[in-house]
Amino acid sequence: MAILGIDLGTTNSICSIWTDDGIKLIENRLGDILTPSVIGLDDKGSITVGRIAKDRLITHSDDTVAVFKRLMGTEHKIKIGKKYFTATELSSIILKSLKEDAENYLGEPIEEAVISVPAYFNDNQRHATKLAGELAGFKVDRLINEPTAAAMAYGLHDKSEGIYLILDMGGGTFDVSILEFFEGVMEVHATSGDNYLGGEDFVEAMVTDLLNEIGAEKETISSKQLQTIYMQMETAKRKIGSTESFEQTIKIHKKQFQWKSTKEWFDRVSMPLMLRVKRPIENALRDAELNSSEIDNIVLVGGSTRMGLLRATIGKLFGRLPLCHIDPDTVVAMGAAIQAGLKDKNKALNDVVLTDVCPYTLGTEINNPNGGNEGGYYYPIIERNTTVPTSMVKTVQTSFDNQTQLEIKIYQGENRLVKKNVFLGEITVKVPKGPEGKETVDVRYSYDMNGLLEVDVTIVSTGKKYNKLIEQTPGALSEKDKKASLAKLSKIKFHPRESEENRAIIARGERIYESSLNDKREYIANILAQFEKILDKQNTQEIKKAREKINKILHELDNEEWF
Amino acid sequence: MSIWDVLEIPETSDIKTIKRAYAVRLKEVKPDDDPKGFQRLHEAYKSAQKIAKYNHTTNDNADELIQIQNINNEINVVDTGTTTYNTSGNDAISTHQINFSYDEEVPDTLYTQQFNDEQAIDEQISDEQQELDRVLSLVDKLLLDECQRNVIKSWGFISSSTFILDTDFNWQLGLSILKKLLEIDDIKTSTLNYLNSLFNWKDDEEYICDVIEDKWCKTLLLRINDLNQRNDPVLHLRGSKSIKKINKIQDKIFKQYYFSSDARRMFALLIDLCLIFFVMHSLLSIYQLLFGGVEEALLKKITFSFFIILYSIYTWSFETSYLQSTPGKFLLGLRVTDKNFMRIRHLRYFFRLVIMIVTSFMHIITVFINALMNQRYLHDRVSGTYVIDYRRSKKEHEEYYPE
Repeated sequence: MAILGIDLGTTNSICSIWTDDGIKLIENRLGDILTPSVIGLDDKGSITVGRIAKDRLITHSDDTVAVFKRLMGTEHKIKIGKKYFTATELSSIILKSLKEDAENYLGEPIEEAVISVPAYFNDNQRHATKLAGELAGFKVDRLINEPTAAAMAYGLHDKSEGIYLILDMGGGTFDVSILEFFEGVMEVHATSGDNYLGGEDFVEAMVTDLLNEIGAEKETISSKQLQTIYMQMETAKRKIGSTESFEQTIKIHKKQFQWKSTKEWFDRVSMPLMLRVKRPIENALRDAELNSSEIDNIVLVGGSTRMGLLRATIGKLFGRLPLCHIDPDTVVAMGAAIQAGLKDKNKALNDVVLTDVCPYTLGTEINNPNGGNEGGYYYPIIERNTTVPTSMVKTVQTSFDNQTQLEIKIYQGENRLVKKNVFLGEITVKVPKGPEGKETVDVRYSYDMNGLLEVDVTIVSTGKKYNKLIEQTPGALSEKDKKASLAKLSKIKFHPRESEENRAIIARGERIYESSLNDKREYIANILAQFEKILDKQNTQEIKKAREKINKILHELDNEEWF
Repeated sequence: MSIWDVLEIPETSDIKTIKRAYAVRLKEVKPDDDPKGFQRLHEAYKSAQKIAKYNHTTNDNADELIQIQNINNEINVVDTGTTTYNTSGNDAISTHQINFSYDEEVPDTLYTQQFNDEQAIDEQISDEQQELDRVLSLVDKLLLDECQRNVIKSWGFISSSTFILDTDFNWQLGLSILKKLLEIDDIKTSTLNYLNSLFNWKDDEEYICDVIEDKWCKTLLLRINDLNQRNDPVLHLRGSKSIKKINKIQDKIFKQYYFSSDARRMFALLIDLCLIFFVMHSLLSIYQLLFGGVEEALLKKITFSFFIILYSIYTWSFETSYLQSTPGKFLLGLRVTDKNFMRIRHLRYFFRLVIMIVTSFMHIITVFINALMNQRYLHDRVSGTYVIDYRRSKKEHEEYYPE
C-alpha cells in the first residue's frame, strides 16, 4: 500500500505518490493538480472543497473560508454555516478531500501520508498539522519541512552535488533552508523563515494601499465586494510581472473606480515585504557559517516566487540567477512523495539519507542568571539549527530553601525572556526539601525527526523520572476532544463527487456574473440558465458536450487569474 | 572511542574523505532507525570537519597571517561605502552585528568607526553617498510640507531608491530620517508605521535610542506597533468573518478549583435551614408577643411565603458578600462564585435565586435531576454560577493562593 505525499498549502494543496516510474502528481476530481485550500458550504448545506469553494468565496463570502493555515496551532474558531471549526479541523477536511481523490485515482485505499509543513512552523503548529492528518484518517508517518522536500526534488532531479539555498515563498509563509547534497546524503545546515510573509501579504498590502488611496474604510465594505477586490488585486499582481500597468474597474459601495496598477506602485507597496525577505536569508547564512559565495545553487520554490520583483531582488542580493526549472507550485509535493518513498523503503531510493535541523531554540524558564529571584529568563537547551534527532541534557536547581516542587516550563523561541517565546507545556516535579540549590534536576530534551519534542526530567538525588511528550499545547486536543472533533467531522456531508464538474461550471459562471456588468451579465445569466436546463434533462452525452462548450466561453469571459 | 573510530577512517584533514566516510556510515546508522547512533556519528563528523578546517587554515595561512593583516589595513583605507550589492561575507557579518548589536556582542567602536569613515568618504563621494544625500534632501523638503508629510504615498520615493535593500545604506538612511522626525511634532502613527516597515527600527529599538541620544526617541518608537499588526493570524483570513477564540485560561482555572460534593452542600443547606427556622420562629413569637395570637390557618399561609422571603434575603446577603457563602457553607469551606470564580453580582444572583426557587417547587424531581448533574445543579448551570470547595482547592493547589 502506497504512502501519500501531501503539500498542505496556504493557497493550494497537492498530493503525489512515489511509484516505480518516479513521482506521480495526483489529479483531483476536476482533473486539476492543484486543489485550492478553500472550504465552503453550498446551498444544500454540504461541504465543498477546492475550486468550487474558491469561486464561491466571491459569491458566498460568508459561508466560505480561505487562508486559514496561519491559524494552525492557535485557539481560534472559524464559523462556516452554523458551526465553528478550528484551523486543524478545516485542514483535515482538505486532507480528507485529497485522500478521497487519491483513492479514487489509484483505486486502492490509502492510510498513510507524509505531510509537508513550513520549516519555520513551531511545535504547536506541527502538532496541529499532525492532528489534522489523523482526523482525516491518515497515519501521519512524517512531517517534512517544505524547503527540505523541495531540495530533495531538485537534488534527485539534477543529481548534482553541492550546497543549495532554498527560498520557499508560498501563499502565507516564507522559508529559507541551506542544505548540502553529497554522496546520497542530504544534510540541512540551517533553516530560518517568516511565518507571516507570503503571496497573500502582497495582495493584502495592495488592497490596503488601494483602499487608502480611494479613501474607503475596509470595515464598511461588504465582504462580497472586499473579496472581489482581493481577487482583482491577485490578478493584478500576476499581470504586473509581464506588463507595465494593468487597468481594472473596482466597485466600492455603489461607486465605480478605474484603477490602474503600475509596476512602480507595486514596487512601492511591496518594498517593506521585500526588506523582510532579506532577514531570514541573512540569519540562515549566519547560522550555517557560510557566505553567499559558497552557495552553489539558489532554488526558488512556491507559487509566489513567480513574482518578478522577488526574482529581481534575489538576483540583486546574490548577483546571479536562481534556479526554478521545476514547477514551483508542485515541487514540494514531489519532495513529499520522495520522502514517502524513502519511508516505504523503496529500492530506487535506498541510498538517500536525509538529515534535518530544528528551526527554533528550545529551552526552559529560569531565574535571572545574574542573581536575584526574578523569574522569566530563558535557558536554551537545544540550540536552533541543531541536527535532529538530537537529545540534550541541562541541569537546573532549586531556587530557594525548602522548595518542594519544581516547575519545568518548556518554551520555544530566541528571546532571552520567556514571555516573548512560544509556550509549549510544563512538567511539575516534586523534590525533597533542602537548602537552596542543593536539589538538582536533569532536564533532557529529545527532538525527533518529525520536529516533535519529548522532555524527560530526572531528579538527581532520588533518581525519580518524569516524562512528557508535549501534547497539552494550545490548540491541541485531549482524547475526548479528539473524539468529539471526529464525530463532528463525520457528520459533515461532502457534496457528491459525480456532479462536481457541473457545479464547478456553475460556481465559476456565478463568480464571473458577480464581477461583470450589464450586457455581459445578461449573457452569462443566459448561458447558465441554458446549462441548468440541460442538466435537468440528465442526458450524459448532452451534458458533456454542453460542459465543454460553456467551459470555453467562460474561459474567454474570465478577466481574472484566480487559480 | 575516538571520532575517527566512529567514522571508521584513519585521522585525516581531507574534508572530502571525511564526507565520504560519513556518507557511508550514515547509510548504516540511519537517523530513523538508530537515533542515538546517528547522534554520535553526526557529532564525530562535525568535530572531524572542524579539525580538518582548523588544520587547513593553520597550515596554509601561518605565513600569510601578517600579510593579511596588512591587506586588511589597506582595505580599511579604501572606502567601504562602495561595496553595495554583492552580499559577500563581509556584508553578512556586518548585518549580524547590526541586528544583534544591542546584545553587547559588538563594541561600540564599530559604529564610531563607521561614522569616521563617513567623514573620510566626503572627499571621494561614492554613488551610495550621493544617493543618501539625494534621498535625505527629498526627506527635508517633504518634512517642511505640512500637508504632505503625513501622506504615506508621498514617502514612496524612499522605497524606489536603488540602494534601499543594501544593509548599510538602509541603516544609515533610517537613522538619519529618525533624527529628522524627532524635530517634527505632528507625525502620525500611520506614517511612523510605514517608515518602520522600511527601516525596522523597532527591532533595534534599544540600540537606536542609545545612538541617537534623544530622550524623545523612545517615546517616538513606542508609538510604532508593527509586531501586533504583522503577527495577528486572523488578519489575513479570507471569507468567514466570524471568529472566536476559545479561552484556554479557563481550563487552567478549572484545574485549580474543585466543585463541592453533594454531601457537603446538603449538610450546609441543613445548617442554613435550621438557622432560618430558628430566626423565623423567634421573629414570629416576637410578633405574637407584641400583637397577640394569629389564627392557625393564616399562620400556615404566612409561614410559607415568610420562609421564602427570609431564605432569599438570607442567602442573597451572605453569598454576594465578600464571604461568598452562607454561614452553613462557610463552616464547610464552600463558596459560591460566578463563571470566572469571582464574587457574584447582584443581578446574576437574583437570577440564580429565582431559578433555585422555581426548581425547588418540584422537589423530588429536582433532587433526582440534581443528583445526576455531576455536582453542578440545575440552578448553578442555568445561572452560570458555581459552588466550589474552596478549602479543598486551596489545600491541593497552594501555589495559586498567595497569602
